[in-house]
Amino acid sequence: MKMNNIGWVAAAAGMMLVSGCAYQSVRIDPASNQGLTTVDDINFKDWQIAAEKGVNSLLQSGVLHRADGRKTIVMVSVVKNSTAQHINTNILTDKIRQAILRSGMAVTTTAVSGAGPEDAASKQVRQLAADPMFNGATVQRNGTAIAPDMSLAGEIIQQQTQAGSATESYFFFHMTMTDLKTGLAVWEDNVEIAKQGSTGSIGW
Amino acid sequence: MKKTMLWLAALTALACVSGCQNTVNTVENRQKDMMPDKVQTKYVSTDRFCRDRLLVKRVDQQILPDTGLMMIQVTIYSNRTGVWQEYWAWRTNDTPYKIEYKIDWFDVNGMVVNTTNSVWIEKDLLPGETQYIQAVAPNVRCRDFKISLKEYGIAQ
Repeated sequence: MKMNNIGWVAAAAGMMLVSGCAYQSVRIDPASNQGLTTVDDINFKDWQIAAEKGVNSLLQSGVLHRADGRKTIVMVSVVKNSTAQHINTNILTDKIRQAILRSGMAVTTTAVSGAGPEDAASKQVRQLAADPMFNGATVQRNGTAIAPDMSLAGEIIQQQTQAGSATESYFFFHMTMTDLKTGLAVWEDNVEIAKQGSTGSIGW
Repeated sequence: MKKTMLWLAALTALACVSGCQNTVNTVENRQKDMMPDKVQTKYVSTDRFCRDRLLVKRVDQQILPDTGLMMIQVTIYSNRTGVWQEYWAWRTNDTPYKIEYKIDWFDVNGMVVNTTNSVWIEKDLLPGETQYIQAVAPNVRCRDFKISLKEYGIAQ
């Protein structure tokens, strides 16, 4: 009987140990600071910091405002990834695009971008004119799409440093807005994010 | 006598430790040319700890020329200076003081407008340091704002 009790206690202790090692998943609020922070990667908080500073700077500059009252048309060109990581720079450019739209001073075009049209539909629908299935009067005509006035581009650079067990990553987000008429950069800014981490002497 | 000596030694050690803290010293011009538009009625939402360690010195506003967008600047100051405060900050490994801020913008109908300012953003402050948080309203319809401040790592 006594042996039986000991067996149960051992089994319960074993269960507790196993459940303690179980992988747990939780949903977190992206607006909070609950996300993971890693040295070598751009974490979602880093994107948010870069967007916050970039958007504030862009709106403060006033370059989107036109004296003639017409809204500025902005295209998103290429944001070059010069980091050691595989990242999707759309996370940054989408946030900036949304802020540009929200400002009411400019609109963005999806018909043209640095890496080809973001939405190919603008071109595709015009090809429907040759398709007998469609009423030609309802097909969008050529010569109606509006060309962009400005282009948003940038580069993300990473510099890694290691000293002993400490590692450091320095991310440099550079953003530019170019006036396509003149080719001049009318707004430029950068956001710097530096992160450090270290591993214990017996860690891995 | 022995007890007094012990107390003295402890106080000296405390002063030595806090003397190692990296406190910010500043110098600035007295005759100011700037004419900021100070926000008279400010609403700053902070937690109990943040309130004691972080001072919101002023909130200034400006309507940006051409665009008409409202811009605000919040001046914050870390008042964790003094022997005990600096000792405690050192003891708890809390230097620099990490805070987070968030700014909510409201349109003329009182509706909150989701912007890139709507997330918690970190900021580090050294003891005695003054820092500035700047934000631009997302559009001309936004004229009201709310600034929230909290210590880093405290969940909402």
